[in-house]
Amino acid sequence: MTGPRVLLVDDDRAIREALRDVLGEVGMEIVGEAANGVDGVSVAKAVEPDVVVMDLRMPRLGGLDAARMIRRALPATQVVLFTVYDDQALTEAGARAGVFAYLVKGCPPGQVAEVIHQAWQWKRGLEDTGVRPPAG
Amino acid sequence: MLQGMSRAWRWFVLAAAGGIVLYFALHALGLGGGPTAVVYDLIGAGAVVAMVVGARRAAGPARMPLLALALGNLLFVGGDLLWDAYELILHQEPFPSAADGLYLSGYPLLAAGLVMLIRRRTPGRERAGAVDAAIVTAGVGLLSWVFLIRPYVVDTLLGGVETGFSIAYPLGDLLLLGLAARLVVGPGRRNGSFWLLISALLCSLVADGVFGALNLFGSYHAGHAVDALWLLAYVLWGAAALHPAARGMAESSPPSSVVASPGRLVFLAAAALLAPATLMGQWMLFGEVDVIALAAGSAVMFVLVFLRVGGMARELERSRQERGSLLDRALRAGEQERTRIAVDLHDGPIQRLTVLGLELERARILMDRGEPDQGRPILDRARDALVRETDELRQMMAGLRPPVLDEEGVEAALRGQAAALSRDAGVACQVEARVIRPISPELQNVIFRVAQEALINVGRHARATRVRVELEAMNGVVGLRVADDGVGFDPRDAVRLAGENHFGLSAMRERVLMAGGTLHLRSRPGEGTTLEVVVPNRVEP
Repeated sequence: MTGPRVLLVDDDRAIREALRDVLGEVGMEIVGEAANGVDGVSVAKAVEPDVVVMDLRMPRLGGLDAARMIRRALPATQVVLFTVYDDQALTEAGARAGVFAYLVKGCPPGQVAEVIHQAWQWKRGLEDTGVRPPAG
Repeated sequence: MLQGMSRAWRWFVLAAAGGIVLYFALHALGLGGGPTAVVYDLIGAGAVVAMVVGARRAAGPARMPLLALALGNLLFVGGDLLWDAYELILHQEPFPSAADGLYLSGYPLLAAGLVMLIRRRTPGRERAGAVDAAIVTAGVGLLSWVFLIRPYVVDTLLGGVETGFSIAYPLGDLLLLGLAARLVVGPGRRNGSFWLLISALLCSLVADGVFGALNLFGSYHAGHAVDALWLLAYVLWGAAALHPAARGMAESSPPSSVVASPGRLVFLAAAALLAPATLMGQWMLFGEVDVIALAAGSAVMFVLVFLRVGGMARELERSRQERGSLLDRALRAGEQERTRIAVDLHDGPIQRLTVLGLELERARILMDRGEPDQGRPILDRARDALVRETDELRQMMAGLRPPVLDEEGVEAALRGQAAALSRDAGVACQVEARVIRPISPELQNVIFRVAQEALINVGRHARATRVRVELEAMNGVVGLRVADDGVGFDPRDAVRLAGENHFGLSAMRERVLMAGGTLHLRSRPGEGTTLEVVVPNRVEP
C-alpha cells in the first residue's frame, strides 16, 4: 500500500462507510474506525495512523478534545476535522488544538482525499527532516 | 327526551300564564275570595311540582339545589294556604301567625339552594364576585333599612315579636338578594334556565319590597298588582327547573376576567351610589337623615370598595407576573425548538447529503478509471437517495409550517390533520367549522397548533373510535372544541400531567394563554376527553 494509513472517527456509520469506500478507491488504507472520541483516541494509540479524519460533535468525547489527546500521544499523526459546522470560532479552536485542517461536510467531495493526502505529505516531511511538531 | 323537556317547560308557562290571567279576571269580575285563592294556590303548587319534576330530570349537580329551592317554595305555598284559611274560613288577619312562620322558614331553604348552586358553579375561590355581591347588598340594604326596616324598629306601638317578624322579611330578602347578586356576578353557565331562576328571584324580591312599602305607606289588598309579581315568580321558578338547560345551571365555567368589565363597574358604581341617594330620599321625604345609618353604610361601602380595589391590584400584579413568566417560557420554548431543528438538520439531511457527495466522488473516480460497470450502481443508489432526501426535507418543512395553513387557512389545515389521523390511527375524525368572521393569521397558528397537538394525543393515548373537531369564529372570539369518545382520564391527574408536560398540555395551555384565551380539558375515565379553547379574535379591519 502506497497511500496514507487513515483512521475514521465519526458517530454516523453511513459517513464512515462512504469515506472508507471513496478513500479506498484512491489508494488510502483505512486502518480503523471509531464512533466516538474516547474510542477514537484509543484506536489511534493502538494503530498509529498517518491521518485521523474526525467529526466534531460526538458522544462521550468531542472531536476537539480527542484531537488534542491524539496530538499529545502521537505528535506526528495529523488530524483532519470533518464537521457540519462552518464556524470561524470552531475553526480557530481546531487550529489551537493542533489539527491539520478543518473541513466542512458539504465541501467538494474530492477535497477530502486531497486534504488527507496533504496531511500525509506534511507528516512525511516532518518525519524526513526529523522535526517533531509541537503538540497542540 | 330533550324535546319532551322543552315541551313540558312551554306547556307549564302557558298554563300558569293562563292561571294568572284567570286570577285577575276573577278579581275584575268581583269574584275575589275563594275562587281567586284557589287559582293563586294552584299556580304556587304547580310551580313546586314543576320544580320537583325538573330537579329529578336535571339530575347531576343541579338536582340538590333545585330540590332545596322547591322545598323553600313549598313552604311559601304552605304559607299562602294557611293565610287563605285564616282569611276566608276564620275571617281573621292575625300577625304574626303560623303562616308567617311558614313563609319565614322558606327563606333558609331558598338560601341553602342558592348557596349550593353558587358553590357548584364556582371552581375554587372567587373573592371578587363575593365583594361585588356584598357592595350591591350593602347599597340595597341601606335602602331597605331606611324604608322597610327602620319604620318598624322605631314604631313604639309594635311589640318585640311583631317587630321581629316584620323586619325578618326584609332581612331574609336582603340575604336572597346578596346570593342572587353573587350568582349573577360570579362564574358559571348562563343559560336560559339560569336567567329564568334569576328573574324568579328578582320578581319575588321586588314583590316583597313593594308589599313591605304598601303595608307601611299604603294599603295592600288581594288582587293588587303586586300579586302578579309573586305569581310570576312562581311561574319563573317552575320554568327554570323544567327548562331543558336546568342540568347545566350548576356547571362551572372559567372566570371571565380578573378585572371588572365596564358594564360591571357601572353596575357597582350604581349600587354604591344607592346609599347616598337613599339618604337624600330620606331627607327629602321625611326631612331627616339617619346619621348612624349614613356612617355605617359609608364605612361598610368604603371597606368593600377598598377590598375590591385591593383584589384587582393583586390580580393585575399576578397577571403581570404571569405574562412575564409566559414570555420567558415562550422565549425558552422558541430556543428549544430552534435547537431541535438544528439537531435534526445536523443528524439527518446534512450527514446524508455528505454521504451522497462522497459516493458521487467515488463514482467519478471509477468512471475516470474506465470502470463504468462499477460506477453505475453507485450513481443509481445516489439518485434514489437524493429522491428520498428531497422527500424527507419536504416532510420536515411541512411539519414546521404546513403550506395549507398559508394557502387555504386553518379550516383546511384542520381537515388535513383530521384526514391524517383517520388514515394513520384509524380514528373517524369529523371537522365542523362555522367561520363567520375571518381569523387573524397569528390566531390561525395558535388554533392549528393546539388542534394538531390534541389530535396527536387522541391518536396516541385516547384509544378513541371517533373524534369531533369544532371550530367557530364569530363575535370577536374563536372557539375550538376537540371531543373524543376514548378512554379519558381522571381530571385530578390533569394538573400533574400538565406539570410533567405530558401530552404537550403545558405547551397547548401556554399558546392559548399567550393569545389571551382560555383552555379547558374535561375528562372522566371511560367517558372520553373534551378540549375547549376560547381565544379573542382581533382582526385588523
